Amino acid sequence: MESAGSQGQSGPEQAAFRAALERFGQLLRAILIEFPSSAGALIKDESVGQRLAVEFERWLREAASMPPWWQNLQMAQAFVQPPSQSGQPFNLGTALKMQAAPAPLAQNDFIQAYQRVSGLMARWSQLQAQLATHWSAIARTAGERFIARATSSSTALDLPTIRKLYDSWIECAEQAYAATVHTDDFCRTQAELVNVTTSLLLEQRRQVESFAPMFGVVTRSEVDALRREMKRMQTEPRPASGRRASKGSRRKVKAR
Amino acid sequence: MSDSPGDLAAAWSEFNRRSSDAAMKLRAAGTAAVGCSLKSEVWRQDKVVLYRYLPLPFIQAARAKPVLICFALVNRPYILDLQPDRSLIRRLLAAGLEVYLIDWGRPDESDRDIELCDYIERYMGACVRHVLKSHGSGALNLIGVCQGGTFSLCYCALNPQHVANLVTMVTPVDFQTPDDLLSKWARHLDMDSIRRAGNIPGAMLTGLFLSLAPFRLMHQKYVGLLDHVLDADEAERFVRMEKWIFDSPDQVAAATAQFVQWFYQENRLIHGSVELGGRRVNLQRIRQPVLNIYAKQDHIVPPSAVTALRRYIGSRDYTEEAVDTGHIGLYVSRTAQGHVPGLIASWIRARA
Repeated sequence: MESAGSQGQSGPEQAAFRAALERFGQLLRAILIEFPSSAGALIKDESVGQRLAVEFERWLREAASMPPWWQNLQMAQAFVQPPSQSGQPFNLGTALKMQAAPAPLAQNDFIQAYQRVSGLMARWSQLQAQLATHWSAIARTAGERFIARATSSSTALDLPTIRKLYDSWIECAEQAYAATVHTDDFCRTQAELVNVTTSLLLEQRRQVESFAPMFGVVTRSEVDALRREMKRMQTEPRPASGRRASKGSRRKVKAR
Repeated sequence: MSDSPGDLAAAWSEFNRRSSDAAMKLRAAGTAAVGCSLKSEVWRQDKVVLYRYLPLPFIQAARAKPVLICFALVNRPYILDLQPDRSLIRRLLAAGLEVYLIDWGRPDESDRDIELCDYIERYMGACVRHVLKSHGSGALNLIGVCQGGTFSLCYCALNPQHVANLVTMVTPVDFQTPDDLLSKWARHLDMDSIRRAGNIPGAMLTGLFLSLAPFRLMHQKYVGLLDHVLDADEAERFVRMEKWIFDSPDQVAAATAQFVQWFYQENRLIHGSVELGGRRVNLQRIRQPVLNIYAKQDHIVPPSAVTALRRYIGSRDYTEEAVDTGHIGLYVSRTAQGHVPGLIASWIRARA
């Protein structure tokens, strides 16, 4: 038997469960507030549909409801979300400048690194904005499809009805999502966003690496070089053992 | 949910009650173990382990060569042995087959330079040799699942003498069919940079797969739990599945970069231009019987990506089986459990 990941603890799957129920709860609350006198009464599907569409759209537009799959690459967020109050992009070099004497990097290198990071961040923001346009399109299309499905008939506004409407909206949202995420424009934008985020991550590492020797810390490049050397030693054919080699040399000596 | 139509306030209370009840039952089920069949480790190199599953008591051994299962790198293989009533492996054992499984383990940064050739020729090759030696046999039955199926095709094309029969399950072959969303997303990634950034975090993989149908997989699935009162077995099954879904190991940088570039971006498998250890993978060299199983509603590996196999292999004994379920459903759904293991076992026995 195997114990899987976070057994017995609060894992990502439990967080996903909680988040989904919270969303559905918000939806119910919104309906309860919007139609307070509707208990037992008949409400037009259309009006409920429109109200739900607004609610769903709000939900969709909240970034937290749809974390991107490449979220884990945002280890580079030190650049993307600068921790400093100044609003300037975080730069380890600048952060350590006060402590570092003499500065391990030439001023020119700092400027180049800063320019690279600034350029990447500018592109990152542009791409985020482009992706947000796609998300708006998904939200709008999902809402339109959902409202179009709602009939003009009246229905009792109970939980099973809302549950059905919810399922219907999920279907609309998936259809709208699929229509967008298969497009070449979306695919290119998302891929470039991943590429830029990766470049930021690599840039961040490059800066950390340049300061590591100052603190007597082994760098990533050094560890990688060591590992490559070990792999080479493992895979290359071994030379004859010392014992045999020495026997061979003895024979050669005798022959002479 | 509610039996009292129109009573929205009561329904709200009921929603709260069911939510708490479901949360409590899922929490209680959190200790449910995964993997139900007894197995022993028979070989290990680095983080890769070969397991042999112990025969079930009172089951007569079938007259068939041993079965080796090769699972994907992107998830853990215990999905094939999740619990007694949802276990492909257990059902193969019940059919009297000798079953081995390659567990790729959980790579860390020290493994970041492992390449596809290492996985397929070095590790998988060593596992095959170990099984053959243990049974004094010249060939075995190979079952490849998902990405493990792609590996199995490569291995089989390079070493056909070691594979008597090949079973592929939800295995991508043509990586650029129009309905393949993963392929479209992967097409423009800079895999050289991604490789340099190190191993791919497992959580990123999980997020990627969930992003293929996010509203269904991240929202509706959980809300659906409230439709009826969960019983303990159901809660345990759900928790096991959830744990597996969120239990993606980190992916080795080098091998992942090669897989994405060679297969998704360049579609090399069908063009015969995958090269491993200096040898070209030519699918035409697969002449042994092939059973190709796929899921009709697969959102990860679309049926079109799987059924392409028939056009590229050299086998004349080719069987294709479609199951009306999804990608993961093919491993654990009731529909698949009642059909797929029996099909595999009888297909293998018929070719013993």
